[in-house]
Amino acid sequence: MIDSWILTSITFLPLLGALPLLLLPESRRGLIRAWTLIVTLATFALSLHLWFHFSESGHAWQFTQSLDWIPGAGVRYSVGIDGISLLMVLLTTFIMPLAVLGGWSAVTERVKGYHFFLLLLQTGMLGVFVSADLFLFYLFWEAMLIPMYFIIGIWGGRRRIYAAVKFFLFTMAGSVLMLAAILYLVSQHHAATGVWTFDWASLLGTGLGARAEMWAFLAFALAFAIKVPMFPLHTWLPDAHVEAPTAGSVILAGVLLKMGTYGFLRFCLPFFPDAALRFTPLIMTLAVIGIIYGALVALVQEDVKKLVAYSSVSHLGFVMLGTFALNMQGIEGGILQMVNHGLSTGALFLLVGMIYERRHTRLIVDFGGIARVMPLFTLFLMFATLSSIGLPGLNGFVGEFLILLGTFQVAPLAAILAATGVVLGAVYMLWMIQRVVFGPVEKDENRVLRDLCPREWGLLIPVVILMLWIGLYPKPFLRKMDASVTHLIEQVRGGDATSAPQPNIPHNPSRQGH
Amino acid sequence: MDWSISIVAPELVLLAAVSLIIILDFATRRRATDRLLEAIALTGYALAFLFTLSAWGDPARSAFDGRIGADALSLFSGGLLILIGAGSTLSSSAYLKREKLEIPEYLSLTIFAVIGMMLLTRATELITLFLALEILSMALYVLAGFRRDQERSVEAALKYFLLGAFASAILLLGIALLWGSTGSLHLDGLRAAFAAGDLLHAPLGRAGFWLVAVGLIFKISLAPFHFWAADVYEGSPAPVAGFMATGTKVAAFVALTRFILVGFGASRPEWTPVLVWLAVLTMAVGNFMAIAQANIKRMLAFSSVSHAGTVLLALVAGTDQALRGMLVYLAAYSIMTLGAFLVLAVAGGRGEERQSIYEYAGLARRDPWLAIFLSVFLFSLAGIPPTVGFVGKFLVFSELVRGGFVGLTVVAVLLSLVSAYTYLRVVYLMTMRESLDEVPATGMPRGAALLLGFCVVLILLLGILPTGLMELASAAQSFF
Repeated sequence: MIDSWILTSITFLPLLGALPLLLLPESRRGLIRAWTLIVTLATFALSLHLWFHFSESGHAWQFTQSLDWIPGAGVRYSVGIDGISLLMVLLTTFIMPLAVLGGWSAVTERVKGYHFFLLLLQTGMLGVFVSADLFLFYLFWEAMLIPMYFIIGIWGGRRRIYAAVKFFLFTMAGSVLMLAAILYLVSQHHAATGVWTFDWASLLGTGLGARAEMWAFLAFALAFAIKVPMFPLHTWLPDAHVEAPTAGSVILAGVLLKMGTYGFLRFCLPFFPDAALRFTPLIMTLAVIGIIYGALVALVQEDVKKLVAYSSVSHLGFVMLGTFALNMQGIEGGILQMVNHGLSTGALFLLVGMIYERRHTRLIVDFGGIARVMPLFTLFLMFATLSSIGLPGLNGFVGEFLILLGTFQVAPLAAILAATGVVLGAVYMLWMIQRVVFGPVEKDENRVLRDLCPREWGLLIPVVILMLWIGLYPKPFLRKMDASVTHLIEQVRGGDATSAPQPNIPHNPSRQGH
Repeated sequence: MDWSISIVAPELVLLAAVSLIIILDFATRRRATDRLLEAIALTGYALAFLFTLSAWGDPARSAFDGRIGADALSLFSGGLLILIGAGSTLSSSAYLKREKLEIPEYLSLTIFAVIGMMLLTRATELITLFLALEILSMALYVLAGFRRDQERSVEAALKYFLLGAFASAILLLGIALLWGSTGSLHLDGLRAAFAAGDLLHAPLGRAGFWLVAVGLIFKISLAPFHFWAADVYEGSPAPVAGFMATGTKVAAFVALTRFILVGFGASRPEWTPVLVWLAVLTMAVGNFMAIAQANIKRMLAFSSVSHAGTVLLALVAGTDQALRGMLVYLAAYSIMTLGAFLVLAVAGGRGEERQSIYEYAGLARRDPWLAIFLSVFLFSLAGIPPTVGFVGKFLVFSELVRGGFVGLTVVAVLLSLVSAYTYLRVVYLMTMRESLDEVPATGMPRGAALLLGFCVVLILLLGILPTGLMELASAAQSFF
C-alpha cells in the first residue's frame, strides 16, 4: 500500500501544499515562506523512503502504481521509478528546500505567488521523472513551463520578460514536435498490435522502420537537446539563467536541465536504439563542441552568473558525452554527473545570489579581495568551485572521470578533446575565484560586506556533505543504478551488439566519404 | 411518416420563453424588471436543457418528413448550444446594465439565435438548413449592431449583414444546383445519388456541394472566408462577440460535418485534399494574423479562426474517434472563448474603451482575479496542459496521426507554437509589465466572477479528467 502510493504522494504533496498558500494573506510573508519550506522538507523526507527501500537487484520499475485514467484515449496514470529516475527524484526533492531558503530574503514582491509557483514547479518536475506513461510524461513536461515562465518573468532581472518568453517558446518548440512523434509511435504500435496505449513499457520495441525511427528519434532528441541544452540550441539558457531569481536559477540548473538528459536515457535510447546508434557520432561531436565552446565563452564572461550559466553548457556536454558512450562507465558517470552538476552549480547560483543581494551587482570587476571580509562565503565558494572543476575527492571528479573513461573506450579522440574542457573549466572557475575573492580589497563597498548568516551557511552545509560523500564514496549511488543501466545498454545494443556499428570517433560524418 | 412535434421540444420551450419575454415587455410597457426577464430566459434554457437531457440515449429518429433529425450528435451540440446561450445571458447581464442597453431585446435575440443554431445542427434537409441559418444570422446581425450609439458597432453589423447575405445567396445557389442535379434536398438522398453516380449533371452537382459548403464555411470563418471575423468581433459588444465566436462556430461546424459526411461521405477522396489545404491556410492565417493584432478582440477573432482550422483537421481525419475529438474540441473551445470574451467585457471598462492589449499591462496588479482568469483561458487556448484546450488538441492530433496525416500534424503543432507566442504576449503584459498610466481597477461584478470561476474550474477539471466529456462525445459522433 505504502509502496504503491508513495510516488503519487511525493509528486503531488507540493501541489497540495500550494493550495493553502492561496488562502494566506500576502502580508504574512514569514508564514508563507515557512510553510513552503515545510512542504518541501516534508516532500524530501517522504522521498527518503525511496532511497532506503529501493531494491538494487533488478532493473524492473519499482514503487509502481497504475490506475485507469482516460481509458477512451489509452491513457493510464502510471508511475514508477528505476535506478535512473530514483536519483533524479531525490535530487529534485533535495534541491527544492535549498532553493526556497536561497530566495528567502531575495524575493520581497508578490511573495505568495512566487512560492505558489515554486511548489507547482516541483510537482511538474517530479511528475516528469516518475511518469511511466507517455501522455502523463508529456503533461508534466509541458505543464511545468507555466510556473517557470512566471518565476522568470515576474521575479527575474532586468530583461526578464524576454528571457521568460524565450525559455517558453524554445522549450515548447521542441516539445510540440515530440508530441507528434509520441503520437506517431503510439499509432505505429496500434497498427502492429491493435492496442492504443501510451504505456512506456508496452511501447518499447515498437518497430518503426529505419526512416521513421530516424525522424521520431530526431523529434524526441530535439525536445531534449533544447532542454539540456546542447550546442547549438543553448541560446535560451544564459538568458533564462541570468534573468531568473536565485531560486529559479538553482532549480533550472539543478533539475530542469536534467530533464533533457533524463529524456535521452528514458526515451530516445530505449525507444529508438538503431537511430540512437546512428546519431551517436553527431551527438558526441555536438557534446564535445558544447564542452569546449561553453568553457571558452565562460572564460570571457564579466558577469559571474553568466559565467556559471555557460559552465552549465559545458558540464551538460559531459553528461551527453557519457550517455552516448553507451557503456556502463559512460552512462553511470553521466547520471552521477547530472547529480553533481545539480549540487555544484546549484551551490554556485546560491552563492552568487547571496553576494548579489548584498552588492546588487554580479560583475567580476566590482569585487576583489572579499575573502578578507567574507571568509565563510569564500570557503563555500571554494568548495563549490572545486567540486565544479572536478577536484579528486569531491563529487565532480568521480562523474567526469567515469565519463571520460567510458568515452575513451569508444571514442578516444572525443575523450581527449573533452579532457581539455576539464582544464578550461579549471581555468575559468579559478580565474573567476581569483578575481572575486582574492587580492586586495579595492572597492570601498566591499569592505563592509556582511559574511554569511546562519541561514545561508546552514543551507550550504548539506550540499557540501553530499559533495564529499559522492566524492569519497560514490558506490551507494552507483550501485542503485547498476541494474537499470545494464538493462538500458542491453536494450540499445540489443542482441546484435556485435553487428551494431561501433561508434569510434566523433568525426564529422561527411569525412567518412573521403 | 412522423410529424411528431416532440422532436423539437427544446426549441419550442425556448420559443415559448422568447414569446413570454416579448409579451411581458410589451404588456407592461417596458416596466417588467430585467431580473424577471432574465429569469424567464434562464428558465427557458434550463427546461430546454432538461428536454435535451431526457432525450439522451433514445434511438435516433427524424420527423417532419425527414427534415429534422434527433440523434446523439444533435443532442450533444444542442446541449452545448443551450449552455453557451445560458452562459452568455448570465455573462452579459452586468455588461448590458453598465452600457445601458436594452435587456429584453438582447435576451430575445440571443434565444432566437440559439434556436436557429440548434435547428442548424439537426437539419437533415437543405431548405431547413437554410432557414435555420437565416434565423441565427438575422438575430446576430442585429446583435452585432446592438450598440446603436457606437459607430464601430453599427459598422460591424453592416459588414456582417452584407457579407452574410452574400454567403446566404451562395448557399442558396448551391442548394438549387444540388436540387437540379440530383432531384433531392435530403442529405440521405444526396448521398444515394452521389454514391450511385445517378446525377443529371455531375459538374453542377459538385459545384452545388462546394457552394453549400462555402456558405457554412463562411459562418465558421475558415480562411479565406474569414475576413469579416476580425472587424465584426471588434465592433460587436464583447459578450455578443463571445456568443458569435462560440455558438455560431459550434452550430455551423456540426452542420458542415453532417452535410459533408452524411451527404458526401462517398466522395471522400474528392474533398479531403481541399479540406487539408483549407485547414492549413486557416491555421496559418489565423495564427500569424493574430500576432500582428494590437486590439485584443481582433486578436481573439484571429485566434478563433485558427482554432476553426484545427477543428477542421478532425473532419479531415474523419474517423469516429476524430469526430469525438472534434466535439470535445468544440466544447473546450466554447468554454475558454466564452470565458475570455467575458473577461474582455469586464476589463474593457465603460463603453469598452480599453481594447488595446497594451492597456492590459499591469492588470495583475489592478484586478488580480481578472488577470488570473484570463491567463488560464489563454493557456488553454494555447493548448498547454493540464487544460481542456490541450485535451482537445491532443485528441484531434491523435486521430490525424492515426489516419496517416503525419506531415499535416507536424505543420499543425508548429502553427500552434506560433499561437502560443500570441497568447503569451497578453499574459506577460498582464502579469509582468506595469500599467502605462494610472488606470483605475474595474472590479468585477459578482455574477461575472462566479461564471468565470466556473469556467476556470471546468477548464482544469476537464483538462485533468476528460473521460466524462469524451464518453458523451463518443456517443454523439455515431450519427451515421
